[in-house]
Amino acid sequence: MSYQPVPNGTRVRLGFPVKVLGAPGLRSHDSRRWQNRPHLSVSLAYLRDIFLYLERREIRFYRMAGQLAPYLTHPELPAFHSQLDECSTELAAIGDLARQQGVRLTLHPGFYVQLSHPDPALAARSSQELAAAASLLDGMGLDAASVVVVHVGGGHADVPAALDRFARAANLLPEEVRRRVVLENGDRQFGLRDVLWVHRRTGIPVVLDTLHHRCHNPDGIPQLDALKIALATWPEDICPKIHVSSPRTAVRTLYRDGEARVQMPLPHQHSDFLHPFEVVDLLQAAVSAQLRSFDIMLEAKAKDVALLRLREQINRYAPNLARHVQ
Amino acid sequence: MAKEYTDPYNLKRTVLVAVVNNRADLRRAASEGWYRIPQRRAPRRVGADYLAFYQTGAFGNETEARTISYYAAIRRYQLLSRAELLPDEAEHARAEEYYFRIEIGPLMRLARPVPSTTFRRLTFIHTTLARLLDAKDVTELKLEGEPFQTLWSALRANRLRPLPNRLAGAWPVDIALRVRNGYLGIQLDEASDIREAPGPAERWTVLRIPESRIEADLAGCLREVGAALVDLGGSLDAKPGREIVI
Repeated sequence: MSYQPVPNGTRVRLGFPVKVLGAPGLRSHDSRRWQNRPHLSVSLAYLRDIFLYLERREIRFYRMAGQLAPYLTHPELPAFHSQLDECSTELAAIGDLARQQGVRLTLHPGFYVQLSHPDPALAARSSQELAAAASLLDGMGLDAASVVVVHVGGGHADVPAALDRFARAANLLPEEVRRRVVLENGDRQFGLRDVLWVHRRTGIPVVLDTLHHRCHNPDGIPQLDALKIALATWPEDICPKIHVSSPRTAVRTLYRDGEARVQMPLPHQHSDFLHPFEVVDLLQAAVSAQLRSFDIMLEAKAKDVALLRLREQINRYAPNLARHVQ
Repeated sequence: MAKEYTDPYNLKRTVLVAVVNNRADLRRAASEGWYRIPQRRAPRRVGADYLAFYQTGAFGNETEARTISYYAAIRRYQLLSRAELLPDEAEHARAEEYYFRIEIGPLMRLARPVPSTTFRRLTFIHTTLARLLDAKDVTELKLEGEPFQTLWSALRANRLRPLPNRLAGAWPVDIALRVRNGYLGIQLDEASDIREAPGPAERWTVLRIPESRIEADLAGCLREVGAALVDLGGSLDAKPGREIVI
């Protein structure tokens, strides 16, 4: 049955990142090596196929692959630099499709994007990456809800200095880039207070990662308070987003050179699925507190399969929340 | 042996098999390096690393007829209107319609062309390079979880005996079920169907089910099949001793 939203109160859209596991053979992007001439247009054809899958599953929030435009900014491969111009029609078409389906699209470049890096060349390269990501979203004609999530980066033994470098670099970004950048709290350093410090100096909204907050919460801020604080950093007209995941708790057997090795789980590692009761508690608290509506990017290894399972579990264990959650 | 056959990295690549029913399209793919698919009839999956060509019976007595013999790496997709794609036919009734123009590398010949040994109607198939290089028949190409396989398994699970790839006269159907007065043919439709011959034969009743519906509402599809079976006097092949629950 189609989702029937609650008329008033908190509404939450669930999303998943990049890979589709619920349908065989759906690719997130053209991952061919440069020798095989990958191209953004091929990634966009894949993306169009993913959108048709999202529509069938009524999924309205999706994180695109960071490498959607392969080698777009690679300094030694200039042949790839003009892909955005080459694909202007196809980008616009895929943006139209996203709008038609009401899918919110976001990006989350890899950890190599570090605006706070002490090496100016690497920091500049990060700015360039963010500009490329913003251009991609602009090319699709997406509104300001399509954000690019970044981390502060490395602390390099001096967290305040790193925060300061981040804020300065962010303020130097062109407006069309900066308006898309949002900042996530870290799991070992740069906790909620740190990213709020950056927010106050740059206006960049905060993406609360609930697992990171559990792993690194030196101020002991309760989760609901953290959520309220993070949501308040977003402009009125843009739906905030947060990241939710559960820690891996199972041992894994890794095989290398024919030998099996047992690896213990670490709390910051993502589990395959979401802990349904933790998510239900979070949602229940948000709905009871009548927080503004927000989107949840589910960072689980089972991707869309984890999302679909979580929906079922919410329907089963917290049917009162079902109309709040899509 | 070509690198494609041995490189595990390449074997994971995806392939879109297109159905070619005229020589001009294949000639254009070979000489100009592109192929077109109308956007409104495009399959659910267009994106792929390779494009392969299933040549229909329209290729007559050529050895490539009813086989996949050629494939090529996909270089780029473009969305173009028909008028842009084929400027010589700018007056065409569908000149404003949009097409995927798929730019491809040189055509490569499969060491072992993949024949279609059944009469099953073919549409676009999305598969992997490993399957394309290994397949002995096009029916081996479909990835598990495809609508055909889903419906087939569900019918079997409901104690029926589906028959694959039958001809209802000149009309190929995907699945057939024997009924009291003939056959119920099930045709899995998509907007992209390329039908080689129209018109079902006598004693055949054809039920059309959109592939997308099988994924979205399998139970509803089964109920529809069940209702059709009842209308036609019941299945002759239901295994005895169990009630059919669809």
